[in-house]
Amino acid sequence: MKTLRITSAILAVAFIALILYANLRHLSVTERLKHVQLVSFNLSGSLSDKSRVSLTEKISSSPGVTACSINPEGTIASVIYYPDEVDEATLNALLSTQCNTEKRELAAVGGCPVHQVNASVQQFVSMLDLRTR
Amino acid sequence: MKTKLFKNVAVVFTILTLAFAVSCSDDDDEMKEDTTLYTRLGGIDAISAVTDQFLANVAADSKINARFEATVANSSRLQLLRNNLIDQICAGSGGPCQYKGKTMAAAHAGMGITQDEFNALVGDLVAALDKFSVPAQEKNDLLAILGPMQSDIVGK
Ligand code: HEM
Repeated sequence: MKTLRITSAILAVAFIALILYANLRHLSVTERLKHVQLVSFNLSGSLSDKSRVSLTEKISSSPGVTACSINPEGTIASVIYYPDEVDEATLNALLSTQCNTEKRELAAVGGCPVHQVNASVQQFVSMLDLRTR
Repeated sequence: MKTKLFKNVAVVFTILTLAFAVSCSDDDDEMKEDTTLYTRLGGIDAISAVTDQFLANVAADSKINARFEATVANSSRLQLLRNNLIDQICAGSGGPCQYKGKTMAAAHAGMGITQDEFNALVGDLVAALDKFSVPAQEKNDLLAILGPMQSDIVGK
């Protein structure tokens, strides 16, 4: 019973310390930038060079979109956007005015596990940080 | 008595005017000297816009996008890579950022990145800089900072 109490106290202190660290650490200019998300679509149907360029421009200038790229083959479109301003469905609808689209299902695991662990730690710390909400 | 007071006021006024003039010309000199690549690129907003375009280009580039699949599929991993890239360009160009990521050798160790893949990625960066009409001088200055990293990235 005593061990349980001591363990709980240690865990509680560690958690409070983590919350304090998350909220008091210095946020760099970059960390204060608004968060973005990326979505990729497979495109099919014939997309001429001219319509590829104009479609890219159209998506790029849509509210909430920070960048859009359609590869020269016209087979993949990638869009980076602010999730609180625009959603995937709207982007999909904009793209499908000129070609058939299908969201690319990307495997979230793979690559270097160290990068994955780093990102998870960062995500946990920013979840506790009330300033980055 | 009145004339003396007037004279004193005139002297103080002249001194203050000169002091202002000198301090203003100092500021102008500082403005002229503050021509870091960071400032010439347009600061943090311009760098983050170019970085987003670069990442979008990479994610659409069938030559290399498989390398970044797990990264772009996970929004916190994408966020971290984006922040690291912005910090790297910002700090490298003399801006007020600190790169907190791994060294290029450690970040790309064991990936076996080929020269063709490296060239494709640089092509995506150049396309992003061109999209924002970054002048040739600034583009070359930035590429001169990133180019030497090649030996730490390719074939490791
Ligand atoms: C001048 C060229 C390059 C620069 C400046 C660069 C920069 C970076 C930076 C800053 C990171 C993040 C490091 C960290 O997490 O601490 C990174 C990670 C990575 N880079 Fe590069 N890189 C370059 C070339 C390449 C190339 C050619 C490829 C492959 C085609 C590549 C693939 C990756 C991957 C897969 C990651 C891990 C992403 C993740 O966090 O999941 N890089 N790079």
